[in-house]
Amino acid sequence: MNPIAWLEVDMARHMLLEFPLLVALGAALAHRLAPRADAAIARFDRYGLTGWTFASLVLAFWMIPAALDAAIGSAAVNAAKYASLVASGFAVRSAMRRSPIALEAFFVGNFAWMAATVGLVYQEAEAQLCLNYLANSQQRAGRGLVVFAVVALVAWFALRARHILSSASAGSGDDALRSAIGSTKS
Amino acid sequence: MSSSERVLPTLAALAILVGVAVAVASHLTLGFRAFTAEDARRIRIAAAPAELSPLRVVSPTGASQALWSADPKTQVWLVTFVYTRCPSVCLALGSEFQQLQASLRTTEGVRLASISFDRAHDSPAALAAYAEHHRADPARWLVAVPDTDAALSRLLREAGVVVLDDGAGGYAHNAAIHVITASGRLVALFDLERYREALAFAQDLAR
Repeated sequence: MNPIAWLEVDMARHMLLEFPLLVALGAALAHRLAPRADAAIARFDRYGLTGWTFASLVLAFWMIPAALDAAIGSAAVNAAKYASLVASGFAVRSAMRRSPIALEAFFVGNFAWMAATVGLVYQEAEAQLCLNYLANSQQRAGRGLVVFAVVALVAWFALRARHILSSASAGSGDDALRSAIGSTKS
Repeated sequence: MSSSERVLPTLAALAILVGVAVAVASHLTLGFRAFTAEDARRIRIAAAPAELSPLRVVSPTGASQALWSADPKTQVWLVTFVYTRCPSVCLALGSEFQQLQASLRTTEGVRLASISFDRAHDSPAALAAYAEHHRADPARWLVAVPDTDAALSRLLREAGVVVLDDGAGGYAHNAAIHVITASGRLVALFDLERYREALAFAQDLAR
C-alpha cells in the first residue's frame, strides 16, 4: 500500500496525520515567502483576517463526513482537498505576520471548540457517518480530534506566549481598528 | 489613505471567500440538508431515481434469473443487500423481512429480494440455508447473488452501496430498504426499521 493510501484508509490517520502534514507543508512554504510576495498578499489580508478566515473555513469543511467520502470517491475532490489544506497552512503562517494576538486567540479558540465538538459528535454517533470508514475508525478519529483541539490550543499559546504576556503592556495606538482589537505585536 | 480604505481590499477578499465557502458547502450538503454521504444518497434518489442496469442473479436452487423485469407479476421490489454470514444487523433485518413477507400474502405486485454482495462465500447452498433460516417463501422473497463479480460491482456502484471489510471476517455497509421498480429504477430508500413505510410506498407504486 502506498503511503497516501495508508493515510487515507483510516479515518483517524486521514484527519489527524494527513491533514496536519498538509497544513504544515503550506506553513513551511509561507515561511520562505519573499517579502515582496508577502506585501502583495498583505494588502488583502489586513490583520491576517482573510488568512485566518480561509483556514477556518477549509478546516471546518473537511470535518464534514460527506466531504471525506467525496474526497475518497473522487480524485478531483481529493486534489482539491490537498490544495486547500496546503493553502490554509500557507494562509495561517502568512497571516501570523500581521494578526493581533486577540484575533489569533479568537480563531484558534474557535477551531479548538469546533474540532472538539466534531470529535464528540463522531464519538456519539451510533451509525457509521462515512460510507468509507468503519465505526471503530470513526471513534478513534473522534477521540483524536478532541485531543488535537487541546494540543492546538496549547501549541498556539506556547508559540505566542511572549506576545500574549507582553500584550497587556503594549498599545501604540497608531491605528483605530488595531487599538479597538486591543493588541499589537509589530 | 485612511484606515477604512486600507481595509477595503481585505473586506472584499473576505466577502468573496465566505461566498465561495457557502456555495461549495451548500453544493456538497445539498443545501445544508445532508452532512453524510448516505443522507445525500437518499435525498438525491428521492429527487431523481437511479437507473439500475439489468443483471442476472443466482437463486438457492442454482437457477439463474434476470432482474428486474423477468417476473411479470412483480412491479416493485423491496431490496436489501446482505451477506449470509452476517451475525447482527442482517439477522434483525431478516425478522423485518419476515414481517413484510407476512404482509405480502394480501398484496399483489410487490416482492422482496435479499441480494448478497459476498460472492466468494454465498453459494446457492449458503443462500438456501439463509432462506430456510428466515423461512423465505420463494414466491414472495427472493434470496440471490449476482452471477458475476462485474454485475455485482456495477449494481453496488449504481445503487450507491459501499461495502467495507470490517477486519473481523465480516462486512459493514450502508444498509437500507431499496425500492426498485420492474424497469430497474431505484426510486426510494428507507431505513430498515421503517419497513412498514417502505411497504406502503411500494404498494402505492404497484397499484
